[in-house]
Amino acid sequence: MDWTWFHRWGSPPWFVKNVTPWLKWLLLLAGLMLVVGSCWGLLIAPEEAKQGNSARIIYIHVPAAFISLAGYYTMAIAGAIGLIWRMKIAFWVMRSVAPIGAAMTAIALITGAIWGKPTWGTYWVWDARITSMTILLFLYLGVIALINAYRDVDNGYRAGAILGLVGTINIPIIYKSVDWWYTLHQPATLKLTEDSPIHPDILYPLLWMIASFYLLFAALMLANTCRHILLSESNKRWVRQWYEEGK
Amino acid sequence: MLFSDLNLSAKGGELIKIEGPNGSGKTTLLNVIAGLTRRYEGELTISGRTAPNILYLSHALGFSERLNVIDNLRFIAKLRHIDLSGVERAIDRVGLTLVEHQPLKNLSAGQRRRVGLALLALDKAPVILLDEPFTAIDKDGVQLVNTLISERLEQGAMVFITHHQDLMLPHRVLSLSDYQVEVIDE
Amino acid sequence: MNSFLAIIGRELRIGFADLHRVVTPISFFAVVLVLMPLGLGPSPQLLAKVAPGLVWVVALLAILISADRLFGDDMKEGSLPQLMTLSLALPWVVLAKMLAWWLMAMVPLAVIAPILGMMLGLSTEAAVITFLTLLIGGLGLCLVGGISAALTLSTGAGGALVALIALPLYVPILIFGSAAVEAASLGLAVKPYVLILLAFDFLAVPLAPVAAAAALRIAIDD
Repeated sequence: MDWTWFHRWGSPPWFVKNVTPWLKWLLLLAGLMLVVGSCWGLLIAPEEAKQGNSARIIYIHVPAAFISLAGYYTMAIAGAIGLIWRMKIAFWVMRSVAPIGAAMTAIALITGAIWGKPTWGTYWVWDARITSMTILLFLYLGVIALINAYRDVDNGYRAGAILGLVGTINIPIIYKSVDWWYTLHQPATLKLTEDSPIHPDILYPLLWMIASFYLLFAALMLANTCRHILLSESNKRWVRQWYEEGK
Repeated sequence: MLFSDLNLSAKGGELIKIEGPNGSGKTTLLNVIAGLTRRYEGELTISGRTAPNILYLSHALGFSERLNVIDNLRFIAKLRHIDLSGVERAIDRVGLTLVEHQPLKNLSAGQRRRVGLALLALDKAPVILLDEPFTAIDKDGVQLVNTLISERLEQGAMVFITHHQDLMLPHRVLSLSDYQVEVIDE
Repeated sequence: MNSFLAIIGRELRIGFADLHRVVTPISFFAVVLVLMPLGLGPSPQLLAKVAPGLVWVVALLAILISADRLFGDDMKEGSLPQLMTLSLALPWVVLAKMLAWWLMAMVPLAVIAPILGMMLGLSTEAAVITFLTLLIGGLGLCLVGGISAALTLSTGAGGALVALIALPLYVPILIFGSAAVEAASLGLAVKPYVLILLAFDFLAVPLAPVAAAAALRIAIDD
């Protein structure tokens, strides 16, 4: 039989002790940037020429859509690190990112539907991007459901990581095939994207909002990771010590 | 992590009985040796081999309920690169010749156990793991299990067996309690 | 190679010994397709238009129905420890089982699908393409479905979870499979779609057994 050593890489106490002190500042900064960006986008930025004020939902919709895909890859990469290097922290990161990514996907879908009503006259159309995004939501839900279905938490993480990797290989294929499917069946009536590039007055607040969403995502991810670490290590002595010190 | 600080070494020709109360990790330890679980910390060396050929008769034996005795044994013999010509003789040795064409679902619990014994008679693996091999076995069967094990020991195999009082051969005891291992020689 | 074939042979023997489990998914496939006109109305134009998509979607569901038995019996009867202590690497064992599943579930389904398709108004060419694409795309369905079956094996969560995991991953196969049938019924070129389905198989054959084998190692340890 092979010699097998089980290294514990990545120390949970170290992570919690080093992340929590500046976590609230990070969350505060993300919140502040979101408030500034929202004011900029909703009040200061000019009205969109054709769609009027309804187009301002873009400042939420587009950043959320950015995060939804980035979140899946973050989850899958974290899972892969957990599988390959048996790093427990990576699994907690994966577990923490999953619901955040799913929520961002849902936000992107919901804001898209709300935006669709005044623009297209309907809440829902089977457009390529919407369809892919919906499938992405189900990929997230599958990973979350699978992790939770396992009796043993570690095994749940390992299974979730495998599914995340399978999904990662599949996502480009799914996106490409849905794109292709849409061009095949494309109805002639809808046209959202204009040829003209986005005006800088709209682009800058949008970029600002994307940056704030990324920051918010990172902050939520770290906070949720700390939460999961503390939940599963709550019996350990270092958690008690850390808690006592904090008081 | 189930086992921590697990250190175990054994040689060919050795019979090691793993004993301990229910839930102390006997089956899990067999799974560790078979390489089916990674939930332990420590080292496990079997005669310095890295990937030994292991025969594992788990509690659920691993035969298909739908297939008959011969097909089940032939299948596993084929996968384990054992000469198929021995199958009939092994079935005869464990006394299943009359039911050899019956699917396993028609057999009694004791007869199914004997299918596992036929595999034990057939296989030539140097490491053998037996999980409660005496379950549902009658008096003749007990004798048979002891004979088969002693034959394999003479051939130089090392045998791990989970606790049972019907074992009549000299052995070492590995006693488990709450996933803690202590080796006691007998 | 011998062991590989032996595993396929064993799976087929078990399938024949327990024929109703081979027949059930196919019956499911047939009965759902027969219900479709009852829900949608008997208009031949409508049915012919939706037939390619219907046949494919119902095929996905039918194959998922039989997914849980891919490893379910091995788990229950304890064959997994036997299969994991072999000299044959586990991904090969898994691939053999997936191929046997394809032979027993997908091939019969592909055989009856053209008949049901024609009852829904598919042309003869489209029916032939239905058979062909279900054979080729069906291999991908079995490979990806096998990953889901292995991942959910020890959870006891059953079919709903297998479906939630597998169906989103089936999207590319569904799109190109039904597009091929649709193209055939419109008299357009089918070859590109068939090639894309083949490409998916070529990607899945080496990768899916590795993923499913890793999942089985988790299941046996759970």
